[in-house]
Amino acid sequence: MKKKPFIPEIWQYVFDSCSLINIEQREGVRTLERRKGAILITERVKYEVAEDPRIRQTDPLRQFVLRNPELVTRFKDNEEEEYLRILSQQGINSGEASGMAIALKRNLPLVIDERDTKATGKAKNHGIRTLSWKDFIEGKISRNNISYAKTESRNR
Amino acid sequence: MMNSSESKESRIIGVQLCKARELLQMTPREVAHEINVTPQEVVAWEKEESRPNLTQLEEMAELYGREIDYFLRQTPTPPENIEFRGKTGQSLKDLSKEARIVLVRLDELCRTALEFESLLNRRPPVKLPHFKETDPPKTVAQDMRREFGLKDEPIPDLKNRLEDEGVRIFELPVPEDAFSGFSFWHAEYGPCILLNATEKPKGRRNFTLAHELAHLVYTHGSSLCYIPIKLGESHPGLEYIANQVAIELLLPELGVVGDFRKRNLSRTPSEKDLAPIAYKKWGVSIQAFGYRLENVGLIEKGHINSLFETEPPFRRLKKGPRPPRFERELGKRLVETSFEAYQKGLISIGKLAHGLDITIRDALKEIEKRSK
Repeated sequence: MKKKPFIPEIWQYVFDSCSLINIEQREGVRTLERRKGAILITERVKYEVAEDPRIRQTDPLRQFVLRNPELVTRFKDNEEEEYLRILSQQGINSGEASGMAIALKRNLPLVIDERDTKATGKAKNHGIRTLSWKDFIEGKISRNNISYAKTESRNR
Repeated sequence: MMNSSESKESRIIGVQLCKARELLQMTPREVAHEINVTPQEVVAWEKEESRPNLTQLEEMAELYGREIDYFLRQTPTPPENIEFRGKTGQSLKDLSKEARIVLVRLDELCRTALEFESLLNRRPPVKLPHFKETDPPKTVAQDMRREFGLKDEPIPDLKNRLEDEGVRIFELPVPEDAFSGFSFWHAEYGPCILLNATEKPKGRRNFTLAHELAHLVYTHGSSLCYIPIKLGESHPGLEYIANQVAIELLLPELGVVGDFRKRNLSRTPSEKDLAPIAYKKWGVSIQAFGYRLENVGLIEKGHINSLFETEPPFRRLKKGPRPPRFERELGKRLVETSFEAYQKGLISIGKLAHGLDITIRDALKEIEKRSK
């Protein structure tokens, strides 16, 4: 497949591993490819979906993430601190905590498995706007409400 | 709603750093060398006089075989004063780092189980009996068989029965066959047993399970044991006692004698004669079964050792699909607790995957499979 150039979208979303897997499984990796400019993942999520040695080399999501290093964002300023603070709570893992920290500090929406009440509940408690992978695909979130995302795309 | 920007700095708990290092029997100097800092810095972090940055914390987590959250929350102290009854002349310090990491993994699994149970607000009761040092192994084994409602028949599902009694049982691969099993009573985790999953055939692990159970009911302390395939070469003292309990528990004299006579076997039976009885019926290795037969005078002394110069060939008896690795390693109790905690929305999918030591994709598949 010919690689499309990476152009960050104005509206960006932080993803957890589960949402990426769900989109890849149900909609195919092409959907991710089409919307890649809107996707931000943390290094920890990258590990969970692409670098974990238990993941097959031929896994399409793994290949997508490795093909598009621009998706991965590193912690900045006080995001590390926020990550550790969220991680110190029970019931969530490091991938989800890292996504929450970045979504919170950069004021970005977090795409998270909606069945996942623990992580979703925690994210909401922190004031993070959350949406499910289906909402992301259907573009349910109102763009008027997330104008702050524009700043993020410049900061990447 | 919580305003996180107003909250305090997260705390990296020095005691947790110290506990993680000590379980691996590493010195601050060794840690410092591995992560490229000074020993003084490692000590200062443990005393909370300064704190590592995230990269250093991640390096330590990898070195210690822990997740980062281990350093952010107070957790129970791992088993202490471990007595190592291994191969002759070996001490705990002689174990490779890979073998010691298995103990870390065990501690992580116990911690995970405890965390999920506390989220579910449920703590299974421990019904395991205690015996005095002076109680003879035969009496101990007979009492336990009575508890299980058994007379002289084989125990078909010892692992499940013990899990129901409140024992945490895990089967993890131990590199280099460094030890067979490990058992300890813990103030918070309760009674725990680790079995070396690489020991084949499965009957050997069943024997190790009964052996470690003996250490628990006698409260022998944290025991890390190497059980040789030739039982006669076991460590003396407590190991001998634990072997005797295991033999009496798994191979009751009356049952074994009756079974042997019914089959009309000679005093020098072949491996082919013994294998179906040992593996299939009594769930032990041929060596353990033969040792018992020699013990009660049914076959000639030394016959079993002469049958096998080395270990017997591994035979897989059950055909058909095996349960997934995480079910074999973690046992039904932790697996059920994990899925229940997830279904009730108490843990995230990432946490479930981590608890079961599988990828998030595999966790999603398992959830889908279970929901059908």
